[in-house]
Amino acid sequence: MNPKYALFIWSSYALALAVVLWNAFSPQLRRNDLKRRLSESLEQSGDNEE
Amino acid sequence: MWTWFHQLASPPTFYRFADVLAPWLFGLAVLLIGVGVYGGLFFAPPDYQQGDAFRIIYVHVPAAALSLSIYTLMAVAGAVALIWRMKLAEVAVVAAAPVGASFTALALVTGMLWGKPTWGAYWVWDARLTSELVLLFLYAGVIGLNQAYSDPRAGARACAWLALVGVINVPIVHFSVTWWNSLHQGASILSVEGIRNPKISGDMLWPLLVSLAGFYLFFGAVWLRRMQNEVLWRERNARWAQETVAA
Repeated sequence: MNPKYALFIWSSYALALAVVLWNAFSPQLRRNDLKRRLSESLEQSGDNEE
Repeated sequence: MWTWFHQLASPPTFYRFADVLAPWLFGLAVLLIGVGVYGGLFFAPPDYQQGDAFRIIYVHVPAAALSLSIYTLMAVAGAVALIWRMKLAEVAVVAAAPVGASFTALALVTGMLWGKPTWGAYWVWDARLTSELVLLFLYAGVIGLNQAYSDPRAGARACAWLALVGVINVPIVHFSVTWWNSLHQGASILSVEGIRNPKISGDMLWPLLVSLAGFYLFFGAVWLRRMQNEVLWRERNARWAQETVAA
Protein backbone atom coordinates (compact mmCIF):
# COMPACT_ATOMS: atom_id res chain seq x y z
CA MET A 1 0.00 0.00 0.00
CA ASN A 2 1.43 3.29 -1.09
CA PRO A 3 1.80 5.64 1.95
CA LYS A 4 0.59 8.57 -0.17
CA TYR A 5 -2.88 7.01 -0.02
CA ALA A 6 -3.01 7.89 3.69
CA LEU A 7 -3.82 11.36 2.36
CA PHE A 8 -6.89 9.92 0.59
CA ILE A 9 -8.14 8.29 3.79
CA TRP A 10 -7.66 11.38 5.95
CA SER A 11 -9.15 13.61 3.24
CA SER A 12 -12.28 11.43 3.24
CA TYR A 13 -12.64 11.85 6.98
CA ALA A 14 -11.96 15.60 6.77
CA LEU A 15 -14.67 15.97 4.10
CA ALA A 16 -17.10 13.90 6.17
CA LEU A 17 -16.38 16.15 9.17
CA ALA A 18 -17.01 19.23 7.04
CA VAL A 19 -20.36 17.83 5.83
CA VAL A 20 -21.39 16.86 9.38
CA LEU A 21 -20.44 20.29 10.76
CA TRP A 22 -22.27 22.11 7.94
CA ASN A 23 -25.38 20.01 8.55
CA ALA A 24 -25.14 20.50 12.31
CA PHE A 25 -24.70 24.28 12.29
CA SER A 26 -26.58 25.54 9.22
CA PRO A 27 -30.09 24.94 10.75
CA GLN A 28 -29.01 26.84 13.89
CA LEU A 29 -27.73 29.79 11.83
CA ARG A 30 -30.94 29.78 9.78
CA ARG A 31 -33.02 29.68 12.96
CA ASN A 32 -31.16 32.65 14.47
CA ASP A 33 -31.69 34.59 11.23
CA LEU A 34 -35.39 33.64 11.14
CA LYS A 35 -35.94 34.67 14.75
CA ARG A 36 -34.18 37.99 14.15
CA ARG A 37 -36.25 38.72 11.04
CA LEU A 38 -39.52 37.70 12.67
CA SER A 39 -38.89 39.70 15.84
CA GLU A 40 -37.99 42.75 13.71
CA SER A 41 -41.22 42.44 11.74
CA LEU A 42 -43.15 41.98 15.01
CA GLU A 43 -41.60 45.16 16.43
CA GLN A 44 -42.40 47.02 13.21
CA SER A 45 -46.04 45.92 13.25
CA GLY A 46 -46.22 46.97 16.95
CA ASP A 47 -44.87 50.46 16.06
CA ASN A 48 -47.41 50.82 13.22
CA GLU A 49 -50.30 49.96 15.56
CA GLU A 50 -49.17 52.70 17.99
CA MET B 1 -51.78 5.93 18.74
CA TRP B 2 -53.44 7.42 15.62
CA THR B 3 -54.72 10.36 17.67
CA TRP B 4 -51.14 11.07 18.75
CA PHE B 5 -49.99 10.99 15.08
CA HIS B 6 -52.76 13.39 14.11
CA GLN B 7 -51.78 15.72 16.94
CA LEU B 8 -48.15 15.54 15.83
CA ALA B 9 -49.16 16.81 12.39
CA SER B 10 -50.19 20.11 13.99
CA PRO B 11 -47.28 22.59 13.55
CA PRO B 12 -47.01 23.81 17.20
CA THR B 13 -47.14 20.23 18.56
CA PHE B 14 -44.51 19.14 16.05
CA TYR B 15 -42.30 22.12 16.90
CA ARG B 16 -42.32 21.29 20.63
CA PHE B 17 -41.87 17.54 19.96
CA ALA B 18 -38.84 18.24 17.73
CA ASP B 19 -37.39 20.60 20.34
CA VAL B 20 -37.33 17.74 22.85
CA LEU B 21 -36.26 14.92 20.51
CA ALA B 22 -33.56 16.59 18.36
CA PRO B 23 -30.92 17.15 21.11
CA TRP B 24 -31.19 13.50 22.21
CA LEU B 25 -30.82 12.26 18.64
CA PHE B 26 -27.90 14.61 18.09
CA GLY B 27 -26.08 13.54 21.29
CA LEU B 28 -26.53 9.84 20.57
CA ALA B 29 -25.47 10.36 16.95
CA VAL B 30 -22.22 12.11 17.92
CA LEU B 31 -21.43 9.30 20.38
CA LEU B 32 -22.13 6.52 17.85
CA ILE B 33 -20.30 8.22 14.96
CA GLY B 34 -17.32 8.81 17.28
CA VAL B 35 -17.21 5.17 18.42
CA GLY B 36 -17.77 3.82 14.88
CA VAL B 37 -15.12 6.00 13.27
CA TYR B 38 -12.60 5.40 16.07
CA GLY B 39 -13.20 1.64 15.85
CA GLY B 40 -12.85 1.76 12.06
CA LEU B 41 -9.63 3.76 12.13
CA PHE B 42 -7.85 2.14 15.06
CA PHE B 43 -9.38 -1.27 15.88
CA ALA B 44 -10.37 -2.76 12.52
CA PRO B 45 -7.51 -4.72 10.87
CA PRO B 46 -6.24 -3.63 7.42
CA ASP B 47 -7.85 -5.38 4.44
CA TYR B 48 -5.70 -8.15 2.93
CA GLN B 49 -6.01 -6.61 -0.57
CA GLN B 50 -6.76 -2.92 -0.09
CA GLY B 51 -4.71 -2.32 3.06
CA ASP B 52 -5.77 0.79 4.95
CA ALA B 53 -7.62 2.32 1.98
CA PHE B 54 -10.68 0.26 2.92
CA ARG B 55 -11.11 2.49 6.04
CA ILE B 56 -12.88 5.02 3.82
CA ILE B 57 -15.82 2.58 4.11
CA TYR B 58 -16.74 4.03 7.55
CA VAL B 59 -17.77 7.36 6.02
CA HIS B 60 -18.48 6.32 2.41
CA VAL B 61 -21.07 3.61 3.14
CA PRO B 62 -23.13 5.64 5.67
CA ALA B 63 -23.13 8.61 3.25
CA ALA B 64 -24.21 6.42 0.32
CA ALA B 65 -26.87 4.61 2.40
CA LEU B 66 -28.25 7.95 3.60
CA SER B 67 -28.33 9.35 0.05
CA LEU B 68 -30.71 6.54 -0.98
CA SER B 69 -32.76 6.44 2.24
CA ILE B 70 -33.34 10.21 2.33
CA TYR B 71 -34.59 10.27 -1.27
CA THR B 72 -36.94 7.33 -0.55
CA LEU B 73 -38.19 9.16 2.53
CA MET B 74 -38.79 12.29 0.43
CA ALA B 75 -40.82 10.25 -2.06
CA VAL B 76 -42.97 8.75 0.74
CA ALA B 77 -43.48 12.18 2.33
CA GLY B 78 -44.19 13.58 -1.15
CA ALA B 79 -46.91 10.98 -1.74
CA VAL B 80 -48.48 11.83 1.65
CA ALA B 81 -48.29 15.56 0.82
CA LEU B 82 -49.96 15.08 -2.58
CA ILE B 83 -52.64 12.59 -1.50
CA TRP B 84 -53.64 13.99 1.92
CA ARG B 85 -52.37 17.56 1.42
CA MET B 86 -50.61 17.39 4.76
CA LYS B 87 -48.53 20.53 5.38
CA LEU B 88 -45.96 18.78 7.55
CA ALA B 89 -45.28 16.21 4.81
CA GLU B 90 -44.58 19.09 2.36
CA VAL B 91 -42.16 20.54 4.91
CA ALA B 92 -40.54 17.10 5.32
CA VAL B 93 -39.77 16.91 1.58
CA VAL B 94 -38.13 20.33 1.25
CA ALA B 95 -36.26 20.05 4.57
CA ALA B 96 -34.67 16.70 3.71
CA ALA B 97 -33.34 17.68 0.26
CA PRO B 98 -30.25 19.75 1.25
CA VAL B 99 -29.17 17.10 3.77
CA GLY B 100 -29.62 14.36 1.16
CA ALA B 101 -27.68 16.37 -1.42
CA SER B 102 -24.76 16.91 0.97
CA PHE B 103 -24.52 13.19 1.78
CA THR B 104 -24.80 12.23 -1.90
CA ALA B 105 -21.93 14.60 -2.74
CA LEU B 106 -19.93 13.14 0.16
CA ALA B 107 -20.60 9.57 -1.08
CA LEU B 108 -19.41 10.53 -4.57
CA VAL B 109 -16.25 12.32 -3.45
CA THR B 110 -15.23 9.69 -0.86
CA GLY B 111 -15.96 7.05 -3.52
CA MET B 112 -13.58 8.84 -5.87
CA LEU B 113 -10.93 8.98 -3.14
CA TRP B 114 -11.39 5.24 -2.60
CA GLY B 115 -11.44 4.53 -6.33
CA LYS B 116 -7.98 5.95 -7.00
CA PRO B 117 -6.02 3.54 -4.74
CA THR B 118 -8.20 0.49 -5.53
CA TRP B 119 -9.16 0.92 -9.20
CA GLY B 120 -6.43 3.30 -10.30
CA ALA B 121 -8.95 5.94 -11.38
CA TYR B 122 -10.97 8.60 -9.59
CA TRP B 123 -13.97 8.22 -11.88
CA VAL B 124 -15.34 5.71 -14.37
CA TRP B 125 -18.70 5.98 -16.13
CA ASP B 126 -19.87 2.88 -14.32
CA ALA B 127 -23.60 2.17 -13.67
CA ARG B 128 -23.30 2.68 -9.88
CA LEU B 129 -21.31 5.91 -10.09
CA THR B 130 -23.40 7.37 -12.90
CA SER B 131 -26.74 6.58 -11.23
CA GLU B 132 -25.48 8.08 -7.94
CA LEU B 133 -24.50 11.23 -9.89
CA VAL B 134 -28.04 11.31 -11.35
CA LEU B 135 -29.31 11.14 -7.75
CA LEU B 136 -27.27 14.25 -6.91
CA PHE B 137 -28.85 16.06 -9.88
CA LEU B 138 -32.31 14.99 -8.65
CA TYR B 139 -31.58 16.46 -5.22
CA ALA B 140 -30.34 19.66 -6.88
CA GLY B 141 -33.57 19.71 -8.91
CA VAL B 142 -35.71 19.48 -5.77
CA ILE B 143 -33.73 22.27 -4.04
CA GLY B 144 -33.88 24.50 -7.15
CA LEU B 145 -37.57 23.85 -7.72
CA ASN B 146 -38.40 24.78 -4.14
CA GLN B 147 -36.53 28.06 -4.45
CA ALA B 148 -38.13 28.88 -7.81
CA TYR B 149 -41.63 29.25 -6.34
CA SER B 150 -42.73 32.25 -4.31
CA ASP B 151 -45.64 30.26 -2.86
CA PRO B 152 -44.05 27.68 -0.50
CA ARG B 153 -46.98 25.24 -0.76
CA ALA B 154 -46.91 25.23 -4.56
CA GLY B 155 -43.12 24.81 -4.47
CA ALA B 156 -43.35 21.92 -2.02
CA ARG B 157 -45.97 20.17 -4.16
CA ALA B 158 -43.74 20.48 -7.25
CA CYS B 159 -40.85 19.06 -5.18
CA ALA B 160 -43.10 16.19 -4.07
CA TRP B 161 -43.81 15.33 -7.72
CA LEU B 162 -40.10 15.38 -8.57
CA ALA B 163 -39.32 13.23 -5.51
CA LEU B 164 -41.97 10.72 -6.60
CA VAL B 165 -40.82 10.56 -10.22
CA GLY B 166 -37.13 10.48 -9.29
CA VAL B 167 -37.48 7.64 -6.77
CA ILE B 168 -37.27 5.22 -9.73
CA ASN B 169 -33.54 5.97 -9.64
CA VAL B 170 -33.14 4.57 -6.08
CA PRO B 171 -33.50 0.85 -6.98
CA ILE B 172 -31.37 1.53 -10.07
CA VAL B 173 -28.54 2.81 -7.83
CA HIS B 174 -28.93 -0.08 -5.38
CA PHE B 175 -29.18 -2.90 -7.92
CA SER B 176 -26.84 -1.41 -10.53
CA VAL B 177 -23.99 -3.61 -9.26
CA THR B 178 -26.14 -6.73 -9.83
CA TRP B 179 -27.86 -5.76 -13.08
CA TRP B 180 -24.78 -4.54 -14.93
CA ASN B 181 -21.13 -5.44 -15.13
CA SER B 182 -19.73 -2.99 -12.62
CA LEU B 183 -16.32 -2.06 -11.30
CA HIS B 184 -17.98 -1.24 -7.98
CA GLN B 185 -18.18 -4.13 -5.53
CA GLY B 186 -21.51 -5.85 -4.85
CA ALA B 187 -23.65 -5.42 -1.72
CA SER B 188 -21.79 -6.68 1.38
CA ILE B 189 -24.47 -6.13 4.01
CA LEU B 190 -27.76 -5.14 2.38
CA SER B 191 -28.52 -8.40 0.60
CA VAL B 192 -30.14 -11.67 1.71
CA GLU B 193 -26.91 -13.53 0.99
CA GLY B 194 -24.90 -10.85 2.82
CA ILE B 195 -27.00 -11.26 5.99
CA ARG B 196 -26.89 -15.09 5.87
CA ASN B 197 -23.21 -15.28 5.15
CA PRO B 198 -21.47 -11.93 5.88
CA LYS B 199 -18.81 -11.04 3.33
CA ILE B 200 -17.03 -8.79 5.81
CA SER B 201 -15.15 -9.78 8.96
CA GLY B 202 -16.82 -9.05 12.32
CA ASP B 203 -13.85 -6.83 13.35
CA MET B 204 -14.53 -4.63 10.35
CA LEU B 205 -18.32 -4.93 10.47
CA TRP B 206 -19.17 -3.64 13.97
CA PRO B 207 -17.61 -0.17 13.51
CA LEU B 208 -19.48 0.09 10.20
CA LEU B 209 -22.85 -0.78 11.78
CA VAL B 210 -22.24 1.62 14.69
CA SER B 211 -21.22 4.38 12.27
CA LEU B 212 -24.31 3.68 10.11
CA ALA B 213 -26.61 3.95 13.14
CA GLY B 214 -24.90 7.20 14.18
CA PHE B 215 -25.24 8.80 10.74
CA TYR B 216 -28.96 7.85 10.56
CA LEU B 217 -29.61 9.39 13.98
CA PHE B 218 -27.64 12.47 12.92
CA PHE B 219 -29.87 12.82 9.86
CA GLY B 220 -32.93 12.51 12.15
CA ALA B 221 -31.70 15.37 14.34
CA VAL B 222 -30.78 17.65 11.43
CA TRP B 223 -34.01 16.90 9.57
CA LEU B 224 -36.11 17.80 12.62
CA ARG B 225 -34.19 21.09 13.04
CA ARG B 226 -34.65 22.01 9.37
CA MET B 227 -38.35 21.11 9.54
CA GLN B 228 -38.73 23.33 12.61
CA ASN B 229 -37.24 26.29 10.72
CA GLU B 230 -39.53 25.72 7.74
CA VAL B 231 -42.59 25.38 9.99
CA LEU B 232 -41.68 28.54 11.91
CA TRP B 233 -41.32 30.53 8.67
CA ARG B 234 -44.59 29.24 7.20
CA GLU B 235 -46.51 29.83 10.43
CA ARG B 236 -44.92 33.21 11.16
CA ASN B 237 -48.30 34.94 11.37
CA ALA B 238 -49.71 32.41 13.85
CA ARG B 239 -49.80 33.36 17.54
CA TRP B 240 -47.76 30.30 18.67
CA ALA B 241 -44.94 31.16 16.21
CA GLN B 242 -44.85 34.77 17.43
CA GLU B 243 -44.74 33.58 21.04
CA THR B 244 -41.90 31.19 20.16
CA VAL B 245 -39.93 34.02 18.54
CA ALA B 246 -40.58 36.35 21.47
CA ALA B 247 -39.54 33.68 24.06
